[in-house]
Formats: sequence, structure tokens, C-alpha cells
Amino acid sequence: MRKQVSVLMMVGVILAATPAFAHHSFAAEYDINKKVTMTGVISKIEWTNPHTYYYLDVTGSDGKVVTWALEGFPPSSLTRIGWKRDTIKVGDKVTVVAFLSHDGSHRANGREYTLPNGRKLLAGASQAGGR
Amino acid sequence: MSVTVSRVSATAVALVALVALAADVDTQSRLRRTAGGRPDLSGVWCRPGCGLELLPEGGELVTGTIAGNRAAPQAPNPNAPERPQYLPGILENRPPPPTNPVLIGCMPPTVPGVTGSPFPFEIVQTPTRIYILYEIQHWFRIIPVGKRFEDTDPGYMGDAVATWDGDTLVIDVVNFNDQVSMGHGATQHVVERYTPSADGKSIAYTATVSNPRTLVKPYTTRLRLDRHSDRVREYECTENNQDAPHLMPEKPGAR
Repeated sequence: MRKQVSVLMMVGVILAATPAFAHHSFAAEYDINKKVTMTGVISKIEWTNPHTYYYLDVTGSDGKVVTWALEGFPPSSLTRIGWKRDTIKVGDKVTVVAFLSHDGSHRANGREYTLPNGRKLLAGASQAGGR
Repeated sequence: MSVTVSRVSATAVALVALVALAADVDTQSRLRRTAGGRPDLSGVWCRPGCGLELLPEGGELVTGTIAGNRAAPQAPNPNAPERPQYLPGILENRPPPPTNPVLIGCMPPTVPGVTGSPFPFEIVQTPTRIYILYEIQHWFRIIPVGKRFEDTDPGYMGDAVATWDGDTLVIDVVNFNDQVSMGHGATQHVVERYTPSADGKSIAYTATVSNPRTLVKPYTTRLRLDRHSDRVREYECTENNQDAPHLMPEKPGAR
């Protein structure tokens, strides 16, 4: 927690220095060095602000299902890059490239989605900034 | 042969004419002006790429990997914004979050930070008021032209007045509250300048921030703003703010 607070305070310093910010920085919550690819079935969608969340049920090699919460751009930003509320539906099987959270929970920044038809879309924050 | 040459020449002349016509059309793209002769800044604006500058066209991956879509390392930018130099002890003794207007807690962005949001905003310009409607957190500013409001309280966005310096809209902001500028909003002074390009397609934005209680000297931050094709859309920060419990040290989401 202490480390996260430090990051947060640094964000505040940066905000004061430059007019460029968002809801939170990528680095405050996610680790750019922990990139994973996961395939599963969408079990829930939250088309919400300040972030969208796609919940992905991933079945492990032991047969256990783990639900990952994948954070993404807010609806307005996704809309501007071609997404619609129903671009991905509950039950769709998708592959997601994501960056894991620092805290080791089943949360990640869902960066790149491969849709059932093979189409690839971006949905998550870049390493340079968050939303 | 001569016929062929003539045809070629005629085609060349036509092409030159088309190029000239295109150039003429381009040069006719001019900054709109109001009936009073001021630049008309009304419209939707956003920083270049609107925060999505790292994404390829349309947001769809054309070729494979994430790494291929990262921005290449940039050379030092001579026009990079200045960094504030704080007086000794200011950073160490600043009020801890969430007393500061940390965005994770959906607190209001202040000036000039709100201008650099990766979400668009709309300027509505009238002779007596400048309205700025920000997508992020639904914030807005109502800025009188020529004379400040008289009955104001210190606020996150301060107390502003707009004037014109030639074609530059100047917004002078004071009267920030104690949640701003590390507890020293009362002594903060921000001067924003919005200078439209000759074609009206962009604005050179600068904001000079001074605060004798926190800064060694004033600093100026700069940003280009582009006209944006989309409208301002809904953005409600508290709707599903799952970040607060992870990133705020106390009373997540309470502010």
C-alpha cells in the first residue's frame, strides 16, 4: 500500500506539471512487465464509467474456472474507436492480451481483444497513460 | 506524335490547374470569426489524438503485437512543458490524499490540468460568457468576459475572467480553494492563453502557473488542442469506480 500511495502522490506531482491526466495512470494499478494472454468466455459486462469491465471466465489446466476482471477504456472512448455496447456479448469466447495488476488479484488491464470472428480491437490503456 | 504531345500537355495543364485549385481551397480554410470580429472558438476540442494517439487508425490492430503499437522512444522535446520547481518542504508537507484533488476519488480536476484530459471538451463562446463543457467528470466552467463575478467562493476551478489579447483568448484564474496547489490554492494564479491557428483547426494552449507559497518561480505548460469530430459524451466518474479501494489510502470513494 505504501508503494501505491507513493505512486499516487507522484501522479499528483505530474498533474501539476503537465495538463495530461486521466482517471488513474496505468502504472498506478498495472504492471507493464506482466503481460499475459488469456482465453475464456465472457461472463459479465459492465459498460460503465470511469472504466468498462469485461469479466472473463478462464478454465485452468486443473479444470478450475477463474474469473478475471478486465478493465478498459470508458464507453465514450471505446465508442470513438469503433466499439459498441454489444461488440462483445456475454458468452463470447475471446482471447485477451492483458497486463496484470500489482496486487496479484484477478484484475488486469484488458489491452487487446481478439473477437470470435478473429477481429482484433484495442480496449485498454496504453503504458503512457490511463483513463 | 504531335497529337499525343498535345494530349499530354493538356493533361499536365489540367493537373496543374487541379493542384492549384486544391491549394486555393486549402488556403481558403480560415479561422471563423464572430460578428464582433473575434476568433470563434466555439466547438469541440481535444488534445492530439484525444488520448488515443497510441492507437492505430480506428483503434483496430492491423498487425499483430502490442509492442508494435507502442509509441517509439521520443527524442527530448524542446517544447516540452516546464516542470514546476517547488519550494523546500512543500512536497514533503503536502496534505495527503484524498485531501488533494486526486482523480481516482473522482475529485474535480483543476486548472490547467483539466485542459489536458484525454477526453474532449466543448467551448461555447458568447460576447459576454465563455462556457467550457468538459467530458471528464462532467465539469464545466462559466467564465465572464471582461469582469469577474463578484460573489464568488474559492473553488477547485477558481474564479476566472476572460479577455482578448488580439486573437488570443486570455483566461485569468485566481481564488482556488485549499484543496488545490497542495493546500495553497489561495495564492495560486493561472493565466491561460488560447491562440487559434490561422486555419482555425487548432489552438496553441499555454497556462502559466504561479504561486509564491509553493513554487520557486512560475512555470508554463503548453498543449496543442485540435478540433474534434465527436461530441462531448457522458462520463460519470462515480458510476463504477473500482479503482478507489485499490488506490486510495483511506475512505475510498468518499470524496
